[in-house]
Amino acid sequence: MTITIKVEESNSDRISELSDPILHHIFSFLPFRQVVQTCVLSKRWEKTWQSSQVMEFDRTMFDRGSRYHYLYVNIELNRVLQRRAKELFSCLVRILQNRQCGDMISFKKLMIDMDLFNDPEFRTLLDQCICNAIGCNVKELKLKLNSFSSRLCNLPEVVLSSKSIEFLESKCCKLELSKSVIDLSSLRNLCLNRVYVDDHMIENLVVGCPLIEDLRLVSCEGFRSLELFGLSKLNGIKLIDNSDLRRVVIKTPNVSSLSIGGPTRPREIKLGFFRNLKKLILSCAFISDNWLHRQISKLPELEYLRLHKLYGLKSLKLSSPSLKMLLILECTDLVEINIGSPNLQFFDYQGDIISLSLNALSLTKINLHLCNHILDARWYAKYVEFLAKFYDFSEVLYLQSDMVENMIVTRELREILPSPLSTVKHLNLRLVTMSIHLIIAKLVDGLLWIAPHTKTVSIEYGNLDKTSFKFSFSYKKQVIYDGKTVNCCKSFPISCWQHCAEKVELEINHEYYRGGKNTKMYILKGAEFMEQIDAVCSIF
Amino acid sequence: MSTAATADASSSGDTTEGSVRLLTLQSEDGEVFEVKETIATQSVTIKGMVDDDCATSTIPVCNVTGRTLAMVIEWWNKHEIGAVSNEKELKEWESQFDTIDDKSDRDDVYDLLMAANYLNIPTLLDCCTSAVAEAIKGKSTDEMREFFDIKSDFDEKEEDALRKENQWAFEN
Repeated sequence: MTITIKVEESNSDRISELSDPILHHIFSFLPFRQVVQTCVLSKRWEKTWQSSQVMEFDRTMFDRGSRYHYLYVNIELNRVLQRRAKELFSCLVRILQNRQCGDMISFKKLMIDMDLFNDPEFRTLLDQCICNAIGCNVKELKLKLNSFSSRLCNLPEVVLSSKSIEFLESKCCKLELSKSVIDLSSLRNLCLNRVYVDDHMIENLVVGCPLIEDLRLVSCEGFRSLELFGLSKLNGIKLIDNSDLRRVVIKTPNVSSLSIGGPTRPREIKLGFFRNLKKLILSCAFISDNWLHRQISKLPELEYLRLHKLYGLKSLKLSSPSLKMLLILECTDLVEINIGSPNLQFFDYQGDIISLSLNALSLTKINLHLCNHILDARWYAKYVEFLAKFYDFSEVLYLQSDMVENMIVTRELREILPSPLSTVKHLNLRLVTMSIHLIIAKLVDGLLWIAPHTKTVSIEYGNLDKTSFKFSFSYKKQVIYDGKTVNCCKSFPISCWQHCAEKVELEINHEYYRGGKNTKMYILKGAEFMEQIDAVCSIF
Repeated sequence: MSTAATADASSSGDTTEGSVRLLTLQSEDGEVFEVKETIATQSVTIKGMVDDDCATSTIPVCNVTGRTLAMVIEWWNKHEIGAVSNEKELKEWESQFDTIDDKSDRDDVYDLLMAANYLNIPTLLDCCTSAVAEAIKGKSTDEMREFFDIKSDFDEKEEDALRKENQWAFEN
């Protein structure tokens, strides 16, 4: 890295004079396949490739362009892939072996994301590669091995006594211990997904990782009980869908994020007093009102609470002053919510219309997904009443709906009830149903009744290909129409939008799943803009 | 080239302008630049010097020419917080660095890369390394040798053996 003479347009090979760390940095932007290709450029480059600090690859690099799913029917192609993978692994085994003999014993990251070929030779190479990476003091080891047989392969035992590993992620394998003891004294991050670990093993694992900061066990099998004590560095815990897990005891003092969920869930959850817990996620569990309230009372710093598919929970009362985000999703037994958290900023609710008492003056964003089965006048009345609860709070409201009809309150009700949300400035609707072209004007009309004088209305639908309509309204100041106040504006404190809307800007966006975007802008003027909306939306 | 950078050799040392301290940087070929401390500390190396109180006299920036240093200062000015109002404008401005069309572009990027490395400026280093990577992307090894003037020191046998060993990476 000593360049002293600057030649105007040189023909000298300056790239090869860059230091290894810079060339490795350049490698980090390149597809792995091309990084490997550089090894034939010159001896300098061969050495640079062999000393790579990061080796990340997945099966897509062996088959350019072909799609994942049909590979399994194409035996010929599968054989080619298998040969290529074996070539790479034998090469890696040798390179990493040589690094151990030389002085290049530092290795930042090895990430393997591929299918496990049912070939003993391949498995041996894979094991050797992992062992040699450990020998090179690898810091980050990620093994995402997709196995389609029920026989999981064993993770080489040497991994569990590596003092260098800081980050270990493993998918689809089995952890078994014959004689060596678990000693992961540098491990900070452990993520196991679809891994078989028995009770004895999990106990050892917890003891063997004294510095662990983040622990994730997802869809694992084998262990029935998990006890976490001490572990003063442990900050994040995630336990999701561990099918044999029956009992969880967590008494680690410094956890700030905790997530426990199903579909299969533990029957017994014992939590300590978490003075630093900021984020709590509970899903797919059967819990009682008392249990939840008792837990929350032990969490003075709780900022984020997500309750998803909790059964047995009937009444929820929250007054935690630290709470900023609250998400209550599909808790079907819930009949009543009482929120008195003064600092709550975001509220997300999905479920039936239930009794709601809200005293949260800091709310700035609300997300509602109301489910309903029968659309009758009673439902609409309850719906309007429910929406009106948010009158004092947010200027931004997100609604989500399975059916277009939900959003269009019947004419009869509109005449007797006041608009529930005349303070909302931005109303956003996400629809689950597909084509709504023909009734878009009717929908806008319905939304404008819910939130008259809103500045924007946006409607979005579609899952893969997305379409959105975004309306921006400008209003006339006066509510005088044709020289006199019109009837529809007299009866309510808020004037009818139809007679004061002046200009409507409409932006229609199509976003395609396979990439690409299509945007059109329209400006609609005058009182008849509703008819214009339908005309524009139907040609789109 | 930029407003904060003046090639004024007469003043040096610890100068202040209002409450903002000015640092004096001297390029390898003797050009002197005065730069606000708040801007120059985007360089981790200079920040270290300032924190250790070693930035009181002229700071020599070895291995970096005046021409390159002026470009680096322009980069700092653009990346000062609040200098460019939106991210898009900044990205557009940056885009002049992120493509290498010919060999003269290539040499400018090398110069910046060396400067970014020496001064430890992560944003500039990222931009330059990714520019070189973009130039490598999609090129065959022969095209790479041609574009970057890399001379192979393998004999034919050695290269063939390497290609065979890594056959998968060269197959379509």
